[in-house]
Amino acid sequence: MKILQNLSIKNKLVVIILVVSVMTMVAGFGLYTFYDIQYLRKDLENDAQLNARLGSEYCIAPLTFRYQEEVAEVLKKLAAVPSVMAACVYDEYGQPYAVFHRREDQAVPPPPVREDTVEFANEHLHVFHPIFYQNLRYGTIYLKVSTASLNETIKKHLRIMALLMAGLIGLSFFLAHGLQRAISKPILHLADVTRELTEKGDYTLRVKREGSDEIGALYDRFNAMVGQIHQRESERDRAAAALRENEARYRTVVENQTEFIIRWRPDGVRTFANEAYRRYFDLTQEQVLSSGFMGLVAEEDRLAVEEKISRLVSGTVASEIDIHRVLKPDGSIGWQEWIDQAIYDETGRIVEFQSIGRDITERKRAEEQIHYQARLLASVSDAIVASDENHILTAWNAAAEAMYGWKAGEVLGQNGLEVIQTEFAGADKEQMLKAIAAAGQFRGEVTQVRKDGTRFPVEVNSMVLRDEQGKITGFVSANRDISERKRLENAMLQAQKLESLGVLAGGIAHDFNNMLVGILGNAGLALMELPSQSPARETIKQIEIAGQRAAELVRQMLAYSGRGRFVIQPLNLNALIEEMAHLLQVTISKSVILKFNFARDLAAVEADATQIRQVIMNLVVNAAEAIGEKNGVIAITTGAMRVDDEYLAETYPMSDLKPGNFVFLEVADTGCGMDAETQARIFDPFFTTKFTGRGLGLAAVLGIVRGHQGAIKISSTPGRGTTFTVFLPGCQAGAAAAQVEQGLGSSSLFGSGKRVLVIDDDDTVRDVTSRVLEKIGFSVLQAAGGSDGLVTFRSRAHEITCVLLDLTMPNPAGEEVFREIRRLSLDTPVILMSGYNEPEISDRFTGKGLTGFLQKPYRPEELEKLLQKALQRS
Amino acid sequence: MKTSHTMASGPGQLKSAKIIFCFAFLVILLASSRPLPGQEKEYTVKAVFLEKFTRFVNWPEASGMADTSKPFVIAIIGENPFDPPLEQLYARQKIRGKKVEIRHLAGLNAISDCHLLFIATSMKTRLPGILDATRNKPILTVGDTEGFAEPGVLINFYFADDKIRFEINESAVQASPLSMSYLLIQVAKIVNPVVEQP
Repeated sequence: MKILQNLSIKNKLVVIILVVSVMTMVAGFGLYTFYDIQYLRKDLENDAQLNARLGSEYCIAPLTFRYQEEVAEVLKKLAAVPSVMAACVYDEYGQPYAVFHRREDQAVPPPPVREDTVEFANEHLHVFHPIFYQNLRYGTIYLKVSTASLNETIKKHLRIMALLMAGLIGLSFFLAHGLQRAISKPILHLADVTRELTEKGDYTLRVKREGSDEIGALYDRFNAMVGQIHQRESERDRAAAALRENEARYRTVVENQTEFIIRWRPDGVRTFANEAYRRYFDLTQEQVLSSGFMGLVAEEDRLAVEEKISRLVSGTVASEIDIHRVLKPDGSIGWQEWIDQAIYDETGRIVEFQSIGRDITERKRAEEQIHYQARLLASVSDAIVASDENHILTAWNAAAEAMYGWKAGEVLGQNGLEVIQTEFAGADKEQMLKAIAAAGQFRGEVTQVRKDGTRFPVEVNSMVLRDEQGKITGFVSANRDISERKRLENAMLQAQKLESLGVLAGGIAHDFNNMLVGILGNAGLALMELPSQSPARETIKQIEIAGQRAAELVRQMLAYSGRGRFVIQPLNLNALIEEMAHLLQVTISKSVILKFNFARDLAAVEADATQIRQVIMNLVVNAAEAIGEKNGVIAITTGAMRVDDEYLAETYPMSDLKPGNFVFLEVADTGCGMDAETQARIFDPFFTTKFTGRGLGLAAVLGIVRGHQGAIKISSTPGRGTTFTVFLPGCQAGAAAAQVEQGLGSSSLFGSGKRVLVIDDDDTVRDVTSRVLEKIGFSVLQAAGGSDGLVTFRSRAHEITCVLLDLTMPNPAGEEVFREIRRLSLDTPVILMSGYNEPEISDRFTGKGLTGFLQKPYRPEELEKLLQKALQRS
Repeated sequence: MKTSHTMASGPGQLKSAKIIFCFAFLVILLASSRPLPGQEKEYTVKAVFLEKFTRFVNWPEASGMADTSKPFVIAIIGENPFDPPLEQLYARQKIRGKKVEIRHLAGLNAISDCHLLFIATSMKTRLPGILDATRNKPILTVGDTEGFAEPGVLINFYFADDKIRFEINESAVQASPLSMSYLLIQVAKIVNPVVEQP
């Protein structure tokens, strides 16, 4: 069938007709031949059967009388029929009775007898015919008939038929060839016209109709169709012209746009780009059509753009707005904003996409500027607050949020004056505002109120904003929370106060101590010299007690100034307090109960035991006085805790202590408590609430604590009580037993004539000291100043066992003298004397061979003890 | 010929059933098996031939051949040459479905009642009388004497090449009321053939 499809219509028709003819003929001739053969065979059969019947008849009588010769004779007669090749008569028992063979050389024994049959086999017809007469069976006759003649006949018939068929096929071919024209000609004509029509596009061509058959009807319809096409063509041409005109108009609109317009296929390749787009990217029309736009998108935005495009392409969304960066031809980065839209056909299928965009680089830059400024505003630590001319808030930065507690959203649009309550120190608000408006700016400290109602000091720096005509358009203010600054200023003030007092106290204490050395030394000497029965002894003892109280006062002053004498050693607070327990109990009123809460395994502190005792005593005495005559409890607690910056901020003195582990000592009472005002002043020197107080107790406590790098915290509620907590730095060395002062051995004349050089510019001190030394067996050389002392030392160094040297001397100072002595002799013990504390001295003379230190004022026993130690060491 | 199966039920007409049986068996053997002329008795073959002739001959209706209840009568005139006798041979053998009755004729008077008349050689001299008696009668005349056929005996036995053959007087057959099949005529020697009228 495929072969047929590609044949020309002429050949197709010829082939079809031929195929039909041949098929029909083959079928007809075949059928005929089949029946012919059948007929010929039947004919042969009938002949053979007839011969057999005839033969059988002639055999009846010979068989009846068993005349074998006659039977053979009958068979011989059958031989007259040339096709009979062999014959046989069987008797009634089926035994061959007589046999005939046409050719003796081909004689074969007759086949076994069979009933009435006619059968073709081995190119022969085998006929068996029973011999009956009057219903009696006499035997069977058999004929073997050659089919050679039959085959010959058949062959002859076939030859004729083949010839006939060949002739008929030839005839068919000629007929087909002639007849096909009736069909093919008009069709070919139609094809010719169609070809001409399509080649030339000339729709005025028509086919000429010749018959009125279906092809004729086809011609009519074809002509009608061509006519319609022609009409439509002309209409289309007109429409196309109109369209072109329209398109030109639209193109002008699109091309003259300042906005970018592109169309692109789902694969990103552009199908159109307007003039504005091409100019922006410096692209030719060809470049536009041959590539996608993705290459123009800036690297960092490509992923985001691809994602949006894929959403659009997949149909998830119908349009997208996309802002991204692009690479401009000059290599710079530009910003573009695009609206992408899918374009659908009538069936709702996406055909392509249209994007309309514009350059927003400038806008983006402005936005970035705004963002930058906003970030700046947000990062400023000052609260930036702006408002319009009616004080309606227009700006409120992050610092403002943090400072005032209102979020921007809460206050923007509100009246700023109502939101932030401001108090101008000693001025009316309305007047101030007017003044500010007039001045154009304001700078100063005010008090403002936060959202939570707390008041706090603020440094305000306001500007009035004016337009070009000078009209007020608003206000802007940079406000700073100065609470911390204020606190630091106060701390500084306090420190300065303490410092100046310290200098004063130090100065006074030096002179006082020298005086007290005289008083106490002389009193001591007097007691030594007076006989024990003397009534003056009691008087002198009172002088000594008063002197000691004066010395105590000086010591407190020095402690306050932080310059008291410190003997720093590891100290166990628990042991120290326990030791003091009895003394404390007797010191306070009987109606007050003393309670102790000691922490176990308390770390030791590096402290001066005497001064810590003083701290405890002062605090307990204060607590007892706060309770007064009423019943109350004083609880003394020790412990350790970790203290952080925040906690330290609430302690006194305002110093820069490092957070860390501190041992604390707490004295809590159930007394009258203090108000805030009192609390603020309790550490001021000479501030007292007590009628008899000197106002140095707590000042000294603070001085001592400060000197120990510690801190004090106060919490007090009027009417409920007060708690003082003293923090002292923990000692790494661990707990140590409080050093118990050893008792001084009984005075004896251990000096044994050894020579001691006493250098002091104060006559009283020098004199008293000399007398005490002589009293205990030393021989004394005196020098009334540094230079004097050095002269003496140089001339008599070998005699001098020990040097007592005052530190606070003018020209040369004690320090210089000491250095000179050390230069002259390395091993002569030198004991320094001073009204200042030992650490100070120790720091200055570390590694310089200082033997000992004697704090003024001293009692004769102290001097004796120190000398003993010094001489033992040497 | 297919009579062998009826042998055992034979009536006890004869002297000895045993003998009859033996004769019947012999007859059957002679009649159906290969008749070897040298060995067979001449008159046994001739007796068997008698029955075979009847197959090809048609008697007119008046002879009552259709009525099987009446016997087929074979008459022997003259000196009986058949040994064993025909009675033995046809005791059970039927002719054309009828029982066979054997008559021995003493004179010409009884001739007309038979269907087949065997004319013995002894009747040579009296042959013309016998032929007169049977003329125009449905009687198949059989002779076994040379020269019998020409005067008018219908079938006459003769020997040729040691075989028992027979001759037929065709004209006599035509003249008689009997009709004879051409098949029989075909194997016989024709005496006085019928001359076709032009």
